[in-house]
Amino acid sequence: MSRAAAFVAIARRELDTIVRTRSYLALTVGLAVILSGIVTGSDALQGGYVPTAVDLLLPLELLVPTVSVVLGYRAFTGENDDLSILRTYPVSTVLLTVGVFVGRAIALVVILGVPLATVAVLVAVTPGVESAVFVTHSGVDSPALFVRFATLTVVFGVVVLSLALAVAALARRSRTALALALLVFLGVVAGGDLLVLSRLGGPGTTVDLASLMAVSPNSAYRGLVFETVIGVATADSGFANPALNVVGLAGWLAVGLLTTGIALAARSWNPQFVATWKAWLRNRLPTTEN
Amino acid sequence: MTDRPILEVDDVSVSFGPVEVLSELSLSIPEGKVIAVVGPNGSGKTTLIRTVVGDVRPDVGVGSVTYQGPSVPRPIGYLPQDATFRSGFTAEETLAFYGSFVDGAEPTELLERVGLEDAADRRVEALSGGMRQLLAVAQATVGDPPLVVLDEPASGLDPMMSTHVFETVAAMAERGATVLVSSHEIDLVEEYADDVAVIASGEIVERGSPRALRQQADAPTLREALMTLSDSSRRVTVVGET
Repeated sequence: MSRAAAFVAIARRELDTIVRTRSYLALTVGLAVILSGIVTGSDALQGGYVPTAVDLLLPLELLVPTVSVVLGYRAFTGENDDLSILRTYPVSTVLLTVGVFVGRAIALVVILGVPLATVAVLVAVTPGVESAVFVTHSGVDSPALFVRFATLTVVFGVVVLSLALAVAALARRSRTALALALLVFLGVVAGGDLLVLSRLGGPGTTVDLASLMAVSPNSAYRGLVFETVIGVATADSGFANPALNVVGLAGWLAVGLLTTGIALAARSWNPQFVATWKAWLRNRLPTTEN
Repeated sequence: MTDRPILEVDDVSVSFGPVEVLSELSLSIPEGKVIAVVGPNGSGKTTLIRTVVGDVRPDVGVGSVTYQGPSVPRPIGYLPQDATFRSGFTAEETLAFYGSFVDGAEPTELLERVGLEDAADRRVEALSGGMRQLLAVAQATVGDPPLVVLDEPASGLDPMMSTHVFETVAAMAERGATVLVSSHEIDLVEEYADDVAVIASGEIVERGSPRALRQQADAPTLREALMTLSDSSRRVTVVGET
């Protein structure tokens, strides 16, 4: 049995699990309805692909983390937790982590891709400004820019998915996973912006806003959309640093996958060893004294 | 069959915080036999089983768990106490998934071994508790591991189904596998186990064949022998500090 075949088996089971769960189909349809409703309720469709992307950006900063967290937070708990059995097969923790991640990421691509494609079709069939397939100069609307926007959206979703998987691996119980998932969701949706606001608050503080935007997944995603989609069409850019934003997203992806792998491996660590480390960490956490 | 051990548990301790669940426990598992681990609730049976399969690591320092059987892709098969399977998949698909990690594991044959061939196309959530347990037993034998470890395989089953599970265990041993099984079904243990290890407060306190234990306690049944050999108090033993 090759490692590649084992990887395919794990990834395929995850994908099959999603495909056979009707609520995920409802999620895809619901997302398509919501996104279509948002763009048809404004003048974005008549404006073309880039105005539509602008209209969708803010809602997607909320909706994408929601979908990713829903898709990932129970990946290793409840009936999805057969780690103790899998450990008796020639399946490494790395293989399991990557297999589960890839299987669920493929599902995420479909769940996000279908609604975005639906919106793209709506733009295509709505009379409005003329769009060019190739962006030869700034100020031109193009489906290529919408594809870029959709790709960035899916990448953002995949990064949050890795964090949701980490939550699922850290939590042994579904209820704990739900609580941790809520924290991840709030952290992704609001954490970055709160960080930026807190750093901008003090008088005389000189903060590189472009760098700060790369720190959280959603502001990095927003920065990339501004620079590589909206900025291209409007010739108005320089809000964010695309390279830093890519590094930021890649960093969060790595954090998510590494945490997932370590947490899964830690499930078989000696309980006394784990308890000792938990106590060590607890003693070093800041305590509130009244 | 020889008494050559397929797995040695040597001086192993496992603690959960301040509670020492296994205390310098040693257990030799001879090849080709059915070994039953019996003991009261909370005595450490499941922790011992989980330690044997590598689901829990022993305390650092002393003690070891050493598999000494043949080198195969899956040396130890395992049925955990609370085995769960994914909804939406049929019994056959479930076994096919696990079988994809080892060569030559045919789901149909595995289902026939436990008598579940007629439920091959039934989704796991539509299986009865007993059928699901049989599926879990079949999963434990995927890849024909030399050592099969079953944690309370007859838990919650009716007498007929429990007997069927233990018949399956006996059939595994006939095919050459060594079986380590924890159970509260003392009558079935007496009938099917070659060797019984009695665990109490994290230690093996008695060990021998059902017949030897009966003789030692001068009791007509293994159940009565265990009652005699162990503390007959009905108070629950609480391990560790309270």
